[in-house]
Amino acid sequence: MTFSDIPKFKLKEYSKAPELSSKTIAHKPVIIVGSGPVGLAAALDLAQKGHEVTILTAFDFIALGSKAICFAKQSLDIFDRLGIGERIIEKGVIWNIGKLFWKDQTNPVFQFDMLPVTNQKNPGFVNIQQYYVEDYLVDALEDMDNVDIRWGHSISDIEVRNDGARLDVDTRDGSYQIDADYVLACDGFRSKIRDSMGLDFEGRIFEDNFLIADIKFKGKAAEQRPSERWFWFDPPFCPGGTALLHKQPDDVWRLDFQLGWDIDREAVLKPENVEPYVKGMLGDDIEFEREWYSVYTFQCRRMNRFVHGPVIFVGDSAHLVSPFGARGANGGLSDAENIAWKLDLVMRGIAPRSLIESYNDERIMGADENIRNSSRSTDFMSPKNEQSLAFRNAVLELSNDYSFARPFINSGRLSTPTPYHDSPLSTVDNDEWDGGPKPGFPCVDAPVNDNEDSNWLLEKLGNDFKLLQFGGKAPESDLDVINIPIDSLAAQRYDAHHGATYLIRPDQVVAARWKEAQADDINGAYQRAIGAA
Amino acid sequence: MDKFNDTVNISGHDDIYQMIVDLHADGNEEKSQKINAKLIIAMINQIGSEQIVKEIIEMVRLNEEKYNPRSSTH
Repeated sequence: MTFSDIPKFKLKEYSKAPELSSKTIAHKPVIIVGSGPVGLAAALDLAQKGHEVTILTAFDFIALGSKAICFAKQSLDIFDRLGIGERIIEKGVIWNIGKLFWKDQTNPVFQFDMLPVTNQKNPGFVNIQQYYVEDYLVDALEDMDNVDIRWGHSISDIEVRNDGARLDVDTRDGSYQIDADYVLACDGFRSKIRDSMGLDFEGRIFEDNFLIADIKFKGKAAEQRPSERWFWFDPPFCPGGTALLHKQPDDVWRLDFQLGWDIDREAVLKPENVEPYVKGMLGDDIEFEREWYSVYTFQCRRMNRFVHGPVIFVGDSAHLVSPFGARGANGGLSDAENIAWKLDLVMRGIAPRSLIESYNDERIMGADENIRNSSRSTDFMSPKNEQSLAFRNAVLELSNDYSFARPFINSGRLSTPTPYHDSPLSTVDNDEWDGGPKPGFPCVDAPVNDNEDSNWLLEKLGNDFKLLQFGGKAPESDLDVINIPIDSLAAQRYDAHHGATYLIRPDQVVAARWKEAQADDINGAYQRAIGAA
Repeated sequence: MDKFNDTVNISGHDDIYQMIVDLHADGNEEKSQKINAKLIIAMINQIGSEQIVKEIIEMVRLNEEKYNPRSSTH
């Protein structure tokens, strides 16, 4: 298979499968299919937890092109845990502010801050090209002895068996079969595995076209532009449509224009037709070079189930959203983090296999929230009938003069972690709380002020279950205890200034909490959180 | 809990009714739709309670269904 039409960021070395010169079929504990950020993050997470990981990817390169660029705080927290967070922050463009413009007005109608709670380690968002994220993940994976990345190995079929799954793999040297206890299908929205298993998506398809122009834009005009998310409704350079501007590393800017449904795709992409849009947005006198132009449409859909026996769908293979809100890659990374710790405990024999079913429950909650938000944003941006157009324009006209209407403006509700309400893994509160993250909610970061090297709470969590003990002494258990002083900002954020104990999952989600914990409480909550209760 | 008041809660009904009709005096359909939308958005904010807004929307839905039922065969 060749991918001559795909632009390449970095070539990777194909290697011949040992199975081609062997008569027996190899059996692996876990195979990850796909080399996007989601598959690579899941692979690195499992590898760091000590598992033998095999990655199969049809590509023998890291692809260039216009893909994910906005990585949200919760993804940065995941990258921190995986050890590549600092590289991403260093390379990326940090932003917290979003501005909304209307028509030809130069002053924003509205602006918002993505990090309303300050004093956290990571910013609200970092913009960085997807290929850098992939490159850093691959670098970390290549450093590990228990990881086998097979570039240029594409799946042609899958057979689900009683004890796992058997994959048919095509390479330039021939085809082979390989077995696995578990397969993580991280092979994107055109997932070969999903097709081979006769599975499909359910939901809405939006008939609208958007032009993406990734351009190199340097000089004074570029330097004067702040790193903020700028969004336009009905601007003169894209009448009746919307437009979006983001800054990326290496002087690359992402420009996005809504074109409507009836367009000639080939004509739109011609440089002479893209140029008026670019200059309309950034100014007639600017100079720029094309990095990559593309036209996209989108869908807001998901699979009915993400877990199919030993085959688990993760990221775009399981669900699709519109790009407004940065919920694609960020949602996928949350999937990867969720399945990684569960599969780890199941493969180590600590948790029952049924724990994997909770991935289905929790990440369907995540996908539904992302689909709901991104569908609503799309309906605001592209009203589907005269009445919704009237409401949309009424909101914008009022917002220009009155603050009360501004929160109705929806240019994409940006990705935040999904709370797992009523998760089967959570233990319901028994005590009265005045705040702090509830069971099923993600941990909030805070400075710990304990004079150790790492001053951030989230840096102390992750990779395994932890007990957060605020003041006092934690009851006897086998879990790692993190002691936090009760006069810290962390204790305030966890409503723990009079003492408290939190049980935290490996994905930094609260499993249970007590004002005065007993050893039995902790053990019961832990058993429930690993699916054993 | 906030509750929608479905009894008389204001006076000057004729004046208010006339003001609304006057707002729509020029008869432009598109403009009227937007004017109504602005009224609704401003009044929602003034009501200040998601619960009451929900109850009003539900009341309107039921009332509309009662007098203009959708045909059961689509």
